[in-house]
Amino acid sequence: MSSATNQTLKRWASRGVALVLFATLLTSLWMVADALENSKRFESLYSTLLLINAVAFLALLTLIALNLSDLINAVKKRRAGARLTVSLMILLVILSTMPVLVLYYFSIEFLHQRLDAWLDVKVEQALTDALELSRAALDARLREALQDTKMVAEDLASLTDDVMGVHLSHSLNRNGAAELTLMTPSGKVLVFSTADDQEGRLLLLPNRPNDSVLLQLKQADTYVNLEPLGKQGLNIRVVVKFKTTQGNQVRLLQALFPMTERLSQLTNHVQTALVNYKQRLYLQKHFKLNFTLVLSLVLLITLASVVWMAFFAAQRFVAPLSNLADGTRAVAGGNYTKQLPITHFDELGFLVQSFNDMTRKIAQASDEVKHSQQLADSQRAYLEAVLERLSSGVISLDYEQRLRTVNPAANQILGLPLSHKLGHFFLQLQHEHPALCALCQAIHPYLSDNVHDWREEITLFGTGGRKILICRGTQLSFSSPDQPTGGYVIVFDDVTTLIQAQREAAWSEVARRLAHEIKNPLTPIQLSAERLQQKLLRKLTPPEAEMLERMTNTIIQQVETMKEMVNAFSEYAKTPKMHWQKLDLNEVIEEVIELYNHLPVPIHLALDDDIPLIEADCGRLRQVLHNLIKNAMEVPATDNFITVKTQVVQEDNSIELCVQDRGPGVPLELLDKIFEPYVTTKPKGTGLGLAIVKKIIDEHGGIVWIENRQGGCVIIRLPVIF
Amino acid sequence: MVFIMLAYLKHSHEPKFWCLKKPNFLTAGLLLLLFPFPALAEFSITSAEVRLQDNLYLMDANLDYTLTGAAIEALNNGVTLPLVLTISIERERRYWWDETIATQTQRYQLKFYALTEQYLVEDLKTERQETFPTLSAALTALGKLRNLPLIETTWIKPEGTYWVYLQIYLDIESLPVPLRPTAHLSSKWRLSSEWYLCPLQPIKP
Repeated sequence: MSSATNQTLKRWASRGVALVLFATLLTSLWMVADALENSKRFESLYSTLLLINAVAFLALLTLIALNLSDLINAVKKRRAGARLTVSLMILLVILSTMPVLVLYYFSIEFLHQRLDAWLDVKVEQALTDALELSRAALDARLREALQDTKMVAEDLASLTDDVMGVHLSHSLNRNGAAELTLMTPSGKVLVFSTADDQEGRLLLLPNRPNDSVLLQLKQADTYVNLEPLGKQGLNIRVVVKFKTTQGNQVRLLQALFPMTERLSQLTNHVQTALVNYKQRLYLQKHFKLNFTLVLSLVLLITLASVVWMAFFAAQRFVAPLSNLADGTRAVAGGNYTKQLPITHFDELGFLVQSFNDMTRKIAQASDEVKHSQQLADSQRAYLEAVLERLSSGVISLDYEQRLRTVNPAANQILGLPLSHKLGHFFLQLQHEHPALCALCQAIHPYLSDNVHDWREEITLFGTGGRKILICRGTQLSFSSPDQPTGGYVIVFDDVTTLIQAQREAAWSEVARRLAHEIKNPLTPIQLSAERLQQKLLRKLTPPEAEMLERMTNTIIQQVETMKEMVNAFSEYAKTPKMHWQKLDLNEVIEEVIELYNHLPVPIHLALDDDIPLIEADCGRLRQVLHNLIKNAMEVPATDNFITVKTQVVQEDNSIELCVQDRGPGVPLELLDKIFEPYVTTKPKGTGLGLAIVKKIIDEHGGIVWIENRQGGCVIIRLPVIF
Repeated sequence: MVFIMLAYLKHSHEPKFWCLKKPNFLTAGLLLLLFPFPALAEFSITSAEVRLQDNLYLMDANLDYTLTGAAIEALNNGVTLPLVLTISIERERRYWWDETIATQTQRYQLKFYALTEQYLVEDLKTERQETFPTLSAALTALGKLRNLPLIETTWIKPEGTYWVYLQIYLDIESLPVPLRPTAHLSSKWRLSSEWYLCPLQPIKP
């Protein structure tokens, strides 16, 4: 069950209990008032009713105390509407208590002062006088009865006990007594005679005088008094003491004379009136106490009820406002689905309705925002997925040129974990990773000049060897308050293999064409020249023959040279299968240098003994060394000497090989294209030596360049095996 | 508080409060709420004895009804005083509460008869009225209990141990309504004797 339902149930239970209590109180108060009116209905319940009232009042007080403690807690916790409830309650209680208190004061005042004055009438004396009058009226009858009894006693005194019974009956009939009894002084009944009672029944037992009468008769001779005898009504009891003449025995004669009905009634009325009056007079203060008690109970119960109803009314009035306050807090806390129950159809109800409309609209707007967010997220996820699976490296920079995103392909191409460097300034990363130098240097001008679109081919040398990248950059044009000038997207593709393949294919085509177009005609030319020499040599004059021989020899020699040239070129264009093996570069160098020791140009070795192994084709590496050393030996210098140096380059994890001569170096205009075929500084060079070197180094994933440092210096870097 | 309640219950008009037959808890509660100090017993039972006569147990007892000034004043002002004598016969049980064999209540009314200035005692059971010239004569007559039939011998098992419990008290709940709250609250009105025990000897076979 939800907490709201529980709360409603609790509230209704509390109201139910209070209503039942209130009804019980009202009923029992009415019963108390009824009992006080001398009514027999609830007389026996009076004390219990008072107790019930007191208990119910205490229960009501407990309820109020509980409610009050709740309210105080609510005020302490600054719950919505609590203070308003308190103010309203105080107002209601004051408004309703004042008139009740005034009424109470005047009621008590009236009861204690005014009522006494009003009832203070001299009635008691009148009633006492009336009673006295009754006694006087009865006295005559008493005397008469005594006289009659005495006469009977005198008659009896002369008789014996045996005949007394008969005489007693006669006397009974004669003097109008209801009962005549003859007794001993101790009260023992000797004879008795009785008349039928008022209902015609014969009395079987004599109505004996009690011990105190007998005691009185020990000192006196007669006893006469009026006595109420239950159903027999008011009777005159006369007892006369006498002595029998025979035997001188003391006897008691008791006679009971019933009063006439009228007289009995009248005296009874007077007696009852007086007793009732005296009783009322006596009970007056108790009555007042009771009335005060009941009035006070009524006052307390009314006050308690008023307080409780004030609670109820204040809470009922404040509830929609508290709900609104709670609702506002909930909305402020982000709960936009909050809807409040409309319990009132008035201005408050309208307010609640407006609140509900407002939250509904906010909830709709919030849903739309969430939907857009989800859409953006899914698009972002889509883009990320695309970027992750893209073979091109993508890097984006923010407007401050900090790294924003790096896709996995970029990491792979650059051979660096750039994903961990997000937020770093991109251009500063080159200090940490020298492999990025070329890239940074290439793109720096575009970034600083804010070039919108650019494209650049960049050669990198890093852990993965030499790489040629086609790099494209775009300035992002969007702008938002937090990213004022957008940023850059740099996309790059590794085209190393592609370019190499293209180059190889192009050179192969050139070689094929050379072979086909040039080499093929060379043989007939050579043969024709030889044949011309053979046929014409003998027929010509010696000077002519000498000239012919000289010319044909030149043709044959030049054709031979051309053949060699074409062969050399086809050798360059060929891409034989690589025989990869692990080897120590120093050993290969030493082996090759050994062959040149006998030559006049000295070769100085500066090899780093700690260089790691590399993976390479040994034969092709030898060819590289031969080509470089031959080149170095052929430089035009008088005191030429060659230095061959190896060392480890930590930054890009490679081995560097330098071959330096003391020649004039390479002219600056040729520096860029010295490695291209048929570019040479030597008069007799084929222009293929360095081209082959570059080709082989490319095949090994290395990089080669030439610098002028006190001569030409060819530098090669080869990647180390991991 | 609990002690007071127990004391009240002990002096209340039931034989033993732990019997819980008709404990006057409501009245006790009211007293606890409004008047938390013990009552003074003005009544007492001087002697009581049970004797056997013709298969019937009879009781003779001397009861002392001493009225307080407040009660006498009320009596002389026409208020009828209801007096009650409660007798309970119980059989002792070793491992359980005693068994109540019989209970009887004798109710008397004492009133002042203004016409002849006498005191009138009425036995409500027999409706028999007696008049006395003085209050003390009336109270003496009330206190002299003779030959009160208790129980027939057939109800009494020879091997059992029996006790007769007696108590006399002024029945506040039968007083006039306006007087009741005062009577409940005032010790002058809470007239009651202690419980009096007298043995009842079964006939040995």
